[in-house]
Amino acid sequence: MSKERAAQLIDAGLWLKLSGDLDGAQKLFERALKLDPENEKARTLLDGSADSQPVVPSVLASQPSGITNPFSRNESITVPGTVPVDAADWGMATGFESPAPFQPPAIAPTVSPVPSMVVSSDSQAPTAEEVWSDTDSFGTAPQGQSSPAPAIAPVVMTRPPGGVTVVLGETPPEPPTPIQPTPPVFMSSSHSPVPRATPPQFEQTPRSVVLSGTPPPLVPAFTPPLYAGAPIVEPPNTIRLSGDPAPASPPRSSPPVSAGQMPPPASSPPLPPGASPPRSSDSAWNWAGPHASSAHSASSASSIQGTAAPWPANAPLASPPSPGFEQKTAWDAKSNPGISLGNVVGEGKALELVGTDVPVVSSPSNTGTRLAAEVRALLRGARDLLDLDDHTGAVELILKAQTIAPDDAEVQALRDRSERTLLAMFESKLGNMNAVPRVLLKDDEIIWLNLDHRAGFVLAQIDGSVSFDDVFAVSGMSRLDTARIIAQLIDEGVISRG
Amino acid sequence: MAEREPVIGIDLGTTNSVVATVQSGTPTVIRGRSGSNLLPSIIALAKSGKLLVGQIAKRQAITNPTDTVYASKRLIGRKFSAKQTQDAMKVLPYQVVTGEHDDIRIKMGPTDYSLPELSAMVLKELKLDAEAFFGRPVKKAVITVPAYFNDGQRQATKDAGRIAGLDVLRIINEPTAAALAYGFGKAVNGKIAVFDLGGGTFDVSVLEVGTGVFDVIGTGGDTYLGGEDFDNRIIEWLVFDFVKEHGIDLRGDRMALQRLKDGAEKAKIELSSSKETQLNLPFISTPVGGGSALHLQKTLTREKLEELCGDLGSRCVTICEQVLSDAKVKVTDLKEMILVGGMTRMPKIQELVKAYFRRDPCKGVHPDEVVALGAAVQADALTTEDSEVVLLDVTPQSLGVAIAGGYVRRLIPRNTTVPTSVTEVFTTSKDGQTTVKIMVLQGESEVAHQNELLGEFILTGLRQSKRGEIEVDVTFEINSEGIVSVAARDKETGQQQSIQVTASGGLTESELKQILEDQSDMMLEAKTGEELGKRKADLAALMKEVTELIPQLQKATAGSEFGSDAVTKANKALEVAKGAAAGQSLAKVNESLDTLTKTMTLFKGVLQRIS
Repeated sequence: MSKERAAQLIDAGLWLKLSGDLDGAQKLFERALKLDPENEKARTLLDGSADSQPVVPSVLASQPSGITNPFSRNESITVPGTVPVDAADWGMATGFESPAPFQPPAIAPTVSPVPSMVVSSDSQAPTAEEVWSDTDSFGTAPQGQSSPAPAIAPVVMTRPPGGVTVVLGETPPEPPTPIQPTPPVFMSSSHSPVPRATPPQFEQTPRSVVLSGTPPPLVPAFTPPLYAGAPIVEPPNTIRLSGDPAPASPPRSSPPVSAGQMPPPASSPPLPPGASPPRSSDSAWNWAGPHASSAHSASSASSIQGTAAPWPANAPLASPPSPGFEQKTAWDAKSNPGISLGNVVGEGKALELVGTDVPVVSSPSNTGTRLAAEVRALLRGARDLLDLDDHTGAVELILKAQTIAPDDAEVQALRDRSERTLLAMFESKLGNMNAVPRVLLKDDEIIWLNLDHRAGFVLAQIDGSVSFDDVFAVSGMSRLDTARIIAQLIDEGVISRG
Repeated sequence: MAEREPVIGIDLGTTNSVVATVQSGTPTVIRGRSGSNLLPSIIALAKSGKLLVGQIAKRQAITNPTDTVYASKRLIGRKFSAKQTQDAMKVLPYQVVTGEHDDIRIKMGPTDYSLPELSAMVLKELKLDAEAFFGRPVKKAVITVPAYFNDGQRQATKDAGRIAGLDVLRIINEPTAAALAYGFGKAVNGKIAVFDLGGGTFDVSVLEVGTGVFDVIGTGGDTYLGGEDFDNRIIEWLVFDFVKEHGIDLRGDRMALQRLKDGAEKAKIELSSSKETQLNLPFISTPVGGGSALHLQKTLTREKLEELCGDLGSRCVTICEQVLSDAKVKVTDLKEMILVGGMTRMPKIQELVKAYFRRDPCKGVHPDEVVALGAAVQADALTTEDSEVVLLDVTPQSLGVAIAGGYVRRLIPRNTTVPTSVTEVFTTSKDGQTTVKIMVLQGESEVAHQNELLGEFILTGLRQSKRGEIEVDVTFEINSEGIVSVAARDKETGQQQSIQVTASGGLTESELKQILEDQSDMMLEAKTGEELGKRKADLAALMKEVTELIPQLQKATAGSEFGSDAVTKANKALEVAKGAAAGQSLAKVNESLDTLTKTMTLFKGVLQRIS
């Protein structure tokens, strides 16, 4: 029982990790390890999480002094994921000449980052911390300065908004590419690569990609396309709502690269085309095909500039599932058999479907069961997070469950409960609602913050004459969203408590 | 000597309202509790359910347009079916619905509010500001209205004052108030012009000022021309440039539009005193599809603003020409010219006015505050025995009857002091006419249908005769309460019919009483709720204290019968208190408070003795 619970906690921890909550994830893994001290996966993940601590890249460290708060600098450019791929733009945006070196593979279930002020229009951009750490993961300043940043995964993607995220279930393995170092186990955000049946190319449509670089004070609507020359991958005919775990195998110590950008370590034998892809037991990662790895390895290598962290020598590898592979977690094939691409509306246009929020429709025969299973799994994950007082993460999962089952009373009840708690938490940060907050930064400092327009609106209301209560009244947003923004502005030292 | 009861003057404006008083003989504006002299005349129901009034309501006017009521003054006292109402409804974002008797109601959330109720919210806010200023209740006020307001609109304003808990001593015309603020009527006699360019309306009035008499001899304007139009020009300029630069139309985003509106107004105000200003609106928009939020940073010069708004200034001048022409007054006949309204601080407007009127406008009183100060002067005069200038109650508009051909015969001209009575003889207009219809009209137009119909009745039983042979006496009488009685009497037979017209602001007396009763219930409820909340907090603190003392008492009286008995009783009392704290009964909460206080005293006494 405790082993099962530990596995659940690990799953939840992975989601948490992917959503950018490193501390929360670590707590979960620790708890899993406590329940099941022999759990290698938990141990590995705990080890790996230490490697993923963000390091300030030199390009940011070289910013003028005076604003030491990382949040106070708009060092990152959030790029919408729907832009076309263009290597030249990538170079313009980041100072790198090569395309994004890493496209993480599918995550199941996809977890959006912790809601933050740095949100794109669909509110799924990473938090400021994520941006910071993600930026770190580039590792190298444009000037070519070396950086201690261990990560090479420069691109952080968030899940497509709304609906079910369709991710790769079974993909061919990729051959090893010695040049590519391995990213740390955890990235600071989740992502959702989307397969396409035809043509046989693995395209990815990140919703939000954080790039490094120092934008000018007036940041234009900058949308550098990513993944130029993305590796050609033949995606499988079946796409899944979630990945299939391989409980017998220990987890990977780091997320495998997608589409051949990040190959498995040298010890992992290349699989022949068409063979079952390796799967990690944590179900978070899937594999792109061999074309992808071979096609992309060189270009991605050139973008790394020698700053990537080495693949941990003792990292246990996911082994390909055997034909008789029996999955035991919530994400196994029984409870979550995936979705046939043939049943998806607009066959061959899966990317567009996801990118434009068109609901994915599968055959009626198994949809209900699968979705119900997915909702159950999401709720289980949400409860795990609630147990750990991670209400933000829980709400994210609940919202995801609600997109699948909008009329489910249990989901609604859990959402209400979580939102109430979350609201209370945020409001407790504010203190007295009649207090009048003040802006602590100067105008020329404010423009360097990394806020979205909603946070900008809330900030604009704070002029030393309105109370917190008034801000709630004038924000035009839900109380929870407003409280979240105000709490973050307080946390980041942008405004006073009053 | 007992302190004099405070009285206030209120400028209940279309866009902003101001309250003032006279202190030690000096008219003074009362600063609001928010720190501003101006209170936006805006009421809103926030998404949170909170009712907002003033600046805070203005801040969310664009993001919450359907539940934000502004410029309600344009509708007050009008009928739903009136053309002005129907015209206004085309541009108002909030929902205007009809009341039971063709009066106007405005839907905010689930409730339909009458216009007097909404205006009362603004008046109440000003009353509270005044009470905070004086430190005691304020009940008496003089309120200003535009010179063109008819009886119904004036009555509605009075009703609003009544709902707000004010005894409205007098309703006076805005231009008159402005003239009073400058002390005219004492030092200056003659014709003066009042140029009032406010936030949403533009009025020009010509007054004939004598000692104690302020006769409005001409008034006109545009109820859809004001500061907001100037703001909109700035917004358009900003939006256009932003589209060019980023391809994003900020008007599509309400949050962005709200910030643009606030920024534009601020910039406009700053340009009245400086040559250029910075518009800095960081994070105004997030590009579609994500990406870093964009900033809007622009420099606006006074020259550019004047270029953007050139035609608006010209419109003002054209209206001035029209009003003076209608009043048959030449610019050279004017002795003084007064500027009213915040927009008249704009240098270009001052320049245009100066060029047209060929004289420097009066200076010394802030144009935003001049009307309220004048109202305060009048309020002070009405409550001071030896006051020099006391305005008399006058009929704001002419009263008459419709006559053959669709024209009007005026019996009581405007500015006639009340009470008054006038009788005129009318004859039949057709051969064999046995009935006459008396239509009581109010207004200045010669054409009947362009005036306000106050009421009508028919006098029957006239002898059949040739036209002009039958004579009917028509008597108009206005008593000191402003009630108009009209009677028609057949001179030959003595047969008589009459009608009594009471100015109605849209609410019937019973509706008004109901509103006042509801309000009083709500206030009582709020007071009780406040008391209950306080008592509950006291009870919670006491419960915590008793709960914390129980283990100490158990320890101190270990084994004794007294100790266990006391603890049992305390636990029971705590249980009861818990129930009371969860309920809404003030009596039960008070009861539990008493019990727990006694328990507390007992516990402390025992513990003290033992230790």
